[in-house]
Amino acid sequence: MEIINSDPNPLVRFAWTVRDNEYVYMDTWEMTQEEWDALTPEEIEKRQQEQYAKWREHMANPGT
Amino acid sequence: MANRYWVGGTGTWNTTSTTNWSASSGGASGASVPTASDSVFFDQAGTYTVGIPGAITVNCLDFNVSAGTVSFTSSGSGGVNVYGSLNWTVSVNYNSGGSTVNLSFLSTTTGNTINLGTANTYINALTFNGVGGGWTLTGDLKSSTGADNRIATITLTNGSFDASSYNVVCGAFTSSNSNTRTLSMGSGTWTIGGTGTVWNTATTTGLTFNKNTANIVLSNTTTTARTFAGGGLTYNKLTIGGTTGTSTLTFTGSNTFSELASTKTVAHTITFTASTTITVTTWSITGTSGNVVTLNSATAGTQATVAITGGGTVTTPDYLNVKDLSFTPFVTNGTAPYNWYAGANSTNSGNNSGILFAASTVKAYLITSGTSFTTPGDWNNASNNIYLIGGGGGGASGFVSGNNRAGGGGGGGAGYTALTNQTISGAITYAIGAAGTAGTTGVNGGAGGTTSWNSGAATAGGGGGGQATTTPTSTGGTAGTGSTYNGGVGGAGATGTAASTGYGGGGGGGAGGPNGVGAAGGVGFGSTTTSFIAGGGGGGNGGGTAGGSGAAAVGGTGGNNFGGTGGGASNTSGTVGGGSGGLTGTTSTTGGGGIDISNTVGGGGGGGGGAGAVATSTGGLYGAGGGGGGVNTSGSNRAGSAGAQGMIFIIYTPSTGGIVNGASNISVSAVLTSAGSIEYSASSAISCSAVLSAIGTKFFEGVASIFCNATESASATLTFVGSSSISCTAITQITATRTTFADSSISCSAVFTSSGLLENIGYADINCVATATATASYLIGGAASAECFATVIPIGNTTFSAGSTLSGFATLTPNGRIVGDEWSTVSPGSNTWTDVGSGSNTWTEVQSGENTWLRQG
Repeated sequence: MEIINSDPNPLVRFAWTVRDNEYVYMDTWEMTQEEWDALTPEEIEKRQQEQYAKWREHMANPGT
Repeated sequence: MANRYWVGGTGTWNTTSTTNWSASSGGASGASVPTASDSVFFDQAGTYTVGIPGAITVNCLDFNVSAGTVSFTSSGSGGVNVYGSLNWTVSVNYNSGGSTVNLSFLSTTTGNTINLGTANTYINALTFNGVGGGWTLTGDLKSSTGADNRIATITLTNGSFDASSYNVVCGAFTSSNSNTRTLSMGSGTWTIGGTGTVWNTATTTGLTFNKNTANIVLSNTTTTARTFAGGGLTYNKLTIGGTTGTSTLTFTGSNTFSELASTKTVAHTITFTASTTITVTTWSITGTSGNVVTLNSATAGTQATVAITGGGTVTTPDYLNVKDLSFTPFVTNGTAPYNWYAGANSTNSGNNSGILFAASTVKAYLITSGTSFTTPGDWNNASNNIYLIGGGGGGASGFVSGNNRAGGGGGGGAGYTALTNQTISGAITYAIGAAGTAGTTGVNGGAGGTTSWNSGAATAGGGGGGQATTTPTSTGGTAGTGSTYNGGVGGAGATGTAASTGYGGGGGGGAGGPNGVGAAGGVGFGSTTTSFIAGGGGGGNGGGTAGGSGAAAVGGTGGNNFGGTGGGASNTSGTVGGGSGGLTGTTSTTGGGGIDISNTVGGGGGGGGGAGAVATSTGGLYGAGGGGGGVNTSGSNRAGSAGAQGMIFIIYTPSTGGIVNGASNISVSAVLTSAGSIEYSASSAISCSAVLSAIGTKFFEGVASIFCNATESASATLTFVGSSSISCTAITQITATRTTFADSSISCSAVFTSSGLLENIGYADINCVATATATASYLIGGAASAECFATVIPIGNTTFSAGSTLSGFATLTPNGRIVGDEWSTVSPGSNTWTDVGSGSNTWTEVQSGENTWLRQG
């Protein structure tokens, strides 16, 4: 018998959306409550902008 | 570090027995049990079984099998920990009788290889778990026989695993942790045959993922649900395989795929987690007749996004059932058409955007912003539809003055105007009706704006704003006016003068649509009990039913759409054009977005009226009225809700272009316009019962022909060569600078005019039973003939070159010089020849030389 335990840390699900003239981008982050609490609003926005910029770059250059 | 060789045939591999271990190949037994530092060799001929008893786990460095037929069995959950490489060069049974044996790779150094050869395995857990370890496949990682889940689960906990160019077949793969690890997918196929969570990289912290060119195939054929928890990584191709199995596959994470494909031949469901984005470069999923593929969001009413990269257009799907999905890119300012086509046989189950529910034989634009639409190059004046919906009116706030209290009136729904086969060119100016603003704190709702097309040539009016006063009165917003159908009026809020009484707002009206006028919003309900205050239901969209009136503790039911569905219950949003249910508490809702225009968009259902609590119920897209706000028992007024904005939806069948080649034919019953040249090559024909016009050159070649029952015009050169012909029963008007008939013929039963040079050369003939007028020079050359039964009026010189003739019963009225060349014949018969040139004409010769001039009258 093998017991497989799930991660006991409660997860925070944070969904965010970016709309522009062409695209709708949706993303959902999952992280522990501890990780979430450590994030400032500025850091969240910075991560969102970086993630969205990375995705737009991929959309403009598929296959890379 | 030592080598240990298995000897003595069948035996037990545990942590104590030395019976079957030798220090040399085929040597004497009794050597110590191998440890993590000792490589093991199974190199003896014969058939035998190695038993690993109970839950015991044994260790070795390299695990080599090079001879014999060896079966490894475990009576429990035991297995082998490999601290080096694995190399099986002969067929191995890593199980027996269906028992399972675990296999763990625990090296902490790189450079290890794995070759299962043609092993027949039942492995419960195959694990990579060595900090700093690295393993590369040198053969397929699979069982040589049996189902795809004979290696049940592969887990990457620590270290780097590289599949290289080999295939991996297992029941599930998981690597969801925060350890430092690398997964290189390689260039082979990963066949995942299990159910449940078949792929799990949900937590990608510490994971370096190389998608390479691997194709992931989910091969299970049962009806059990599966989940692909991709963790937002970028993958190569994923194929939903297994031809059968009516199952659901759920994606979690905002994952990216080079290609997302399905090879299932039965109905199945693909679900995306709400508020995530699935990005694909190539979409290869479609249903077939009787085998519909359902695409939806995991959370009803909350969209997920499906994006196609590189601005590509997805045209291949059909037989889909789509719900709660946003497809992008989706340009709504009139500069680009839809990128996603669901196919003609797909179903729109509501709350979708960016996907056209039609085959890609048409193009469509949804315009919700901007002011100018540039006529596409393939625009088709003969096959287009343009739909306008104005902005929905906003709901009024509740109004309060002491005990004089009124729930706000709901906003009115917008009007609907449908246009067919519009002739347009260049830039078309339009305006999108704005949403009526919500009335706040004792303010009436704003009126929705008017949507207009082509500088106001067509309009769809916005709904009026809801109103209320402290008289007290409450009035729903007026219905917006559409040329085809009007919107629905807003419902009135409840009013009264009793102390400590609150009043519900009225529901918004539904927008008009192709199935009729928008339906009215319902009336609010007042009570001295807070929980009893209720708003009226929003009205259904065009052709639907009115919202119900609020009652004690129950918001009015939202009106249904024309099909009898979609109306929301109390405190519930409407769907597919149905109105929202009236509110009784703090739950905010919205009217349902309509889909009754081309099965894609439409007038929305009205928002429900509010209660005494703070909550909104906006109008549904497009053009629906917002709900009116309420008043609570303490006399606090609540804001109304905004209406929904207007829109323009354009759909047309692209013109096949200006070129008709070969034996092709074009037959239109309306206007045909080409912004460029129209060329008809051999054997092509055009039959037009209305206007046929080309802004550029028209060129008829070979035996091309044109039959027009109305005006035929060309503003540039019109050329007929070869045996092409034109036959008109109406006006043929040529404003071209030069029209040439070379071996061609023209037959007109009405007026034929040319303001430019008209040339009949070669064997071209012109036969007119009405007036033929050339305001410039008229040249009949070669063996051409002009046979006229009416007046021929050349304004310029008329020249008959060698071999040409003019005959008939018409009147030739030359205003210029008539020049007859050799062998030309003018035979006016009984016609009257009128010389109006006042001497300016020069009759070169009469019956002179080789010419024959017959003049009568």
